[in-house]
Amino acid sequence: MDPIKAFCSIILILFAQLCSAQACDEVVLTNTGQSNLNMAFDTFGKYLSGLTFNGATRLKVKVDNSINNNPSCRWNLVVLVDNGGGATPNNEWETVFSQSVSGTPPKIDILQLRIKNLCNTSQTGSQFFSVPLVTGTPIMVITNNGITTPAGSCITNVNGPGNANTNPDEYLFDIDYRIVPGGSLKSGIYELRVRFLLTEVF
Amino acid sequence: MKAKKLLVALSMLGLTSTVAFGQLQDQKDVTFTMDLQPILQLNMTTPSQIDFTFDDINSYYAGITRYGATILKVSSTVNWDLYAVGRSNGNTGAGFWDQQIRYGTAAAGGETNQLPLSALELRQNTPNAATGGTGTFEDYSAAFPAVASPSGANSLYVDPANSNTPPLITHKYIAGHKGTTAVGTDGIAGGSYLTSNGLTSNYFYSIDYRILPGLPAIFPMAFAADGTTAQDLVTINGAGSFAQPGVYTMYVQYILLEDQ
Repeated sequence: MDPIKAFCSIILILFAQLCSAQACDEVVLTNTGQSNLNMAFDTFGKYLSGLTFNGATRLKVKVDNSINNNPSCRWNLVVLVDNGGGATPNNEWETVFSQSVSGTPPKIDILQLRIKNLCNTSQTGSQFFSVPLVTGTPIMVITNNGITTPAGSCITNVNGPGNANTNPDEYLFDIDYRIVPGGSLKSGIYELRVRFLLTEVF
Repeated sequence: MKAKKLLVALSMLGLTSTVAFGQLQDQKDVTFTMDLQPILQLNMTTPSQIDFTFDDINSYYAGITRYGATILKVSSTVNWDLYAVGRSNGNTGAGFWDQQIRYGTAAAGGETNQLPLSALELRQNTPNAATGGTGTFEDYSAAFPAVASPSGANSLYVDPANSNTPPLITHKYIAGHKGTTAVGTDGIAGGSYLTSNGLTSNYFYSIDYRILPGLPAIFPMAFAADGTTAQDLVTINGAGSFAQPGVYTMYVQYILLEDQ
């Protein structure tokens, strides 16, 4: 066999294998809730008890493999907290404006999340939890455990193709937020971003 | 020719694979804006007026004490200081009680109507938790001095300008001190009597008052803000001085402010 033809054949085979690594045809994440949340702490009671925003974010997941019908199509859903970086320490909220001479800027882990759907497919459970101490640490809502759990299973970590229209109990996530500032924080205005990342996984 | 075809084929493969291998992904962001407004609340329970009537010899000698006349309760989201300052309208001069009425007509020798505001003594039930003060007395937590041992341990802080300027680090604070070095040194951490209660809470103070005129009425417990410079009537006006009989008024301002 011509060595050049043999080389091309090998390349083509490898390419075909690699092409098959893209298992899903489409992944779409939609937020039908609010993309900006303002939390004003203007009474001592709010500082003590915190503020809770129930269902402020509603995520709809759509993962489709109807064209290629590849059975390996899976996805994960990750939450990342971002404070803009720069000069801001990676464990603090980004300071927009500070009007205080004493105290410390708030830490990012005063933000609590609760991620739930009716089938409780989230790996984070159904209770409030604090976000990690530093930015960029992933919170796995749906993780890649190497196993495809199909839609309709109604168990933890459903990660097969499906969508919120046909399986809302598994593909629709309601996100609640809570912040309890406590005392001795530097008063001012602060910002933090929460990023939801839907990715197909292999 | 074959080499050219191979090159083109590999280029196409490379281009295609660049597109084909992109991992499908979508993301959504939610931005939080948190407005932490500074909240300083001082709840005070006290009679609107506290009367000290000196109408017998014993009250002049031993003074009159009003125990627990004022209760102060603090809630703050920021580090804070709390101090008391003696104030008046200054109708007899800055730093002196206001004379509302004078008993008698002819002024006797040595009489004066300039009674120092620092003649009022305070005592707080819980010591100042910030220990960074550099003065002789850091707070008003000492027991009222004995009549025979005049001391400025409890004399009320008075701004010489008859204003409410915060005391210096050498002066008395109920809680905290001037400066922003650290909580426990010159500031008290944010918090509230609602969650930190008990008899020794740093957010709850019971204030006693005492006025000791002495006999003759020279107010021996009156001292300047430093706690060591006597302001009794004899020291200020000379031997033979004493207080002119009459009705006098003044007021105490309690000021809660962010650690400064």
